[in-house]
Amino acid sequence: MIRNPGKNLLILFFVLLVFLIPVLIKDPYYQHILNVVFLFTISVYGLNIIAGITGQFNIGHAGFLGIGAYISALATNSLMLSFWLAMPLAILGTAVFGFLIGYPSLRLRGVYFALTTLCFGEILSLVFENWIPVTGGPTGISRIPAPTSIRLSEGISFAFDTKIGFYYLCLIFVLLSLYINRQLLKSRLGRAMLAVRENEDLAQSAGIPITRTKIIAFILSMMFVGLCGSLYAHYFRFISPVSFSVPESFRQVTMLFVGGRGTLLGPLIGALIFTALPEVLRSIEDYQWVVYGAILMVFIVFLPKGIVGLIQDITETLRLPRNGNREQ
Amino acid sequence: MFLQQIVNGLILGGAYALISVGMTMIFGIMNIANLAHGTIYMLGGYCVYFLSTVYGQPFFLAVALSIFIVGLFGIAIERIVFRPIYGGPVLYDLLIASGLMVFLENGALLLWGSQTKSVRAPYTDMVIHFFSVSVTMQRVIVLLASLILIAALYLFLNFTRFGKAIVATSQNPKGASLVGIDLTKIYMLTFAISSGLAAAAGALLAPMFYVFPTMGSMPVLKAFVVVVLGGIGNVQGAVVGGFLMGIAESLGGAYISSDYKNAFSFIIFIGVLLIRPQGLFGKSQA
Repeated sequence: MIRNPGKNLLILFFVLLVFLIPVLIKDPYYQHILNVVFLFTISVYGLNIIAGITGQFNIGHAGFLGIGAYISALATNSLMLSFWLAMPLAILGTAVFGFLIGYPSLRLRGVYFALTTLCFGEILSLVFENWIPVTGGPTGISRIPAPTSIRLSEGISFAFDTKIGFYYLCLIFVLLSLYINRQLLKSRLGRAMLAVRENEDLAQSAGIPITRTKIIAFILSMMFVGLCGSLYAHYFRFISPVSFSVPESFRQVTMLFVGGRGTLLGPLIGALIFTALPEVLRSIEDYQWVVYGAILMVFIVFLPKGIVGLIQDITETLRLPRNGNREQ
Repeated sequence: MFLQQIVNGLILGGAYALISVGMTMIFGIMNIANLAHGTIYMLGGYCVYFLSTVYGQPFFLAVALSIFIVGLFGIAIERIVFRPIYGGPVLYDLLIASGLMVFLENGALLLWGSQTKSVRAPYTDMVIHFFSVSVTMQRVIVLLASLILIAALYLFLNFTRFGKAIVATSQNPKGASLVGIDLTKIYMLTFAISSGLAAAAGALLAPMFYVFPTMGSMPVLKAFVVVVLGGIGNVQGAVVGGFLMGIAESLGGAYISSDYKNAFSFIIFIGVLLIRPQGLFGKSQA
C-alpha cells in the first residue's frame, strides 16, 4: 500500500472535527444521541472482532453487554467501588464469561457457537429478571453513579457527569477500539482470525491453531463488550433487563452487517445509522423492528459486505480501468 | 406427583418433537439453521385462533386448515427468503433466518397486537383420572395428535417415493440429484412439511397456552437443543430428544425451580456440546 499524506491529513481533520462536535452542537438532545451512538459503536467493534473478523456469530451479544453493565453497577452500588475500579472489573468479568462460554462451543464448527451464545443470551435474560436480590428483577438497578471526575492538579479536572464530559470519555474509547481493530487487522493474530473466517481447513493446514484463535478473538471481543456495558450503566445511571434482551442482540448484529462486517469503519457507520434513524424517524417507532428484520434480510442477500463494502467495491471499479490503461 | 409430572412432560414433549422434527429436516437437508421456525409455530397458533374463535370453525377442522395454510406459507418463505442464499457463506442462513424471525414476530405484533388470545377447544373441561394422574382430554388429544403426525411422517419418509427422495437428499444431495431427484422440489416439500408440523404444534397447544406474537421464541431455542441432542438431520433423534426435553423440563420445573424452568434445556445443551457434540444418536463427526 502506498503511504498517502492526503489521507492522513483527512483522518487528522476528521479527528479534530469529532473533538469539536460538542462545541458545534449545543442541543443536549443531539449530544445525547451522539453519546448513545458512541456507546453502541464500542459494543459493535467488540462484535466485529468475533463476528466480522473471525466469522463466528455471537447472537447473544446483548446478554454479555448486560454482564458488564450489571457487574459495574453492582460494584459501584453495592461494593461502593469507584467507577475507575468497577470498569476494569466489568471488563475482566465479561471476559471470564466469554471464556467459559467460548471454550465448549468454539471447539466445534458451524452453528454451535452461534446457538450457544443465543441460548446463553436467553439464560442471562432469565437471570437478570429473576435473581431479584442481586439484579433487582424487572425493575433493574437505578441510581448508578456517574463516572467520578479526575483531578489532575489544582484547578484542572475532568468531570464526566455532563453529556459533554461523557462524550469525550466515550470518544477516547471509540478511538481506542478503532485503533485496536486496525492494529489487529494488521497483526499476525488478526490475519489468523481472517484465515479462520475464510476457510478453517486451510487455516489449520497452514498451522493456525483455530480453536485457540477463535477463543482469543472471543475474549478480546468480550473485553470491549464489558467496557461498553460499564459505560452504558454509568451513562444512563439505570439498567434493566430489557436493554440486554435477545432482540437487542439482533439489532447489534444488524448494525454490524449494514455497516460492513470485518471492516474498520463498518461498526461506526452501522451504530450511527441504527441509533440516529429511529430518533429522527420517530413516527416509524412501532415499525422499527419489522424494518430491522427486513433490512437484515435485504443486506444479507444483496449487500453482504455492508455499506463500507459497497463503497470499497465502487471505488475499486472506478480505479481499475485507470490502472489498466497505464499498464498498456 | 412424580407420575403426573412425567405425563405432563410427555404431552409437552409431543409438541417439542413436532417442532424439532421439522427443524432437523431443514437443517439436515438444506443446512439451514432455521431460527424462524418458532415464528412458524406462532403462525399456526394464530391461524387456529382466527379459524376457530373468530370464524367459528370446529377446532379439528381449524387445526387441519392451519397445517395446510402454514405449510403453503413455508413454501413461500423457502422461495423468497432462503433460496437466494443456497450455497452462500456459512452462517448466512442463520442470520437471514434471524432477520425473518424478527420480521415475522414484530409483523404479528403490529397486525394482531400484543394481547394474548385464547382459543376454545371442545375438550378443555373434560378431565381424565387414572392412578394418581389427572389430565384434561385436551392434553391427551395433543399427545395423540402428535404421535399420529409423527407416525404419518415416518410412513411418508420410508414408504413413499417423495419421502424416500427426501431421505436420499439428506444423505447425499449430489448423489440424489445425479439419480434424477429434483432438489428444488425436495427443498420446497421439506419446507412445507416442516412448517406444517410446527403449525400443528402451535395449533394443538393453543387451547392450553395462549396465542401471542413471541410465543415461539422459547420453543425455537428448545427445538434447537433437541436437534443437537438428537444429532443434526436425525428425525428419530429429534422425536426421542423432544420427549426427553419435555420430561426433563417438567421434572426440573417441579422439583428444582420453576423460575428457571426455561434454563434447564440450555444447561443440557451446553452439557451435550461438552460431552457429545455429535448428539446422543449422531455418528461421530470424524
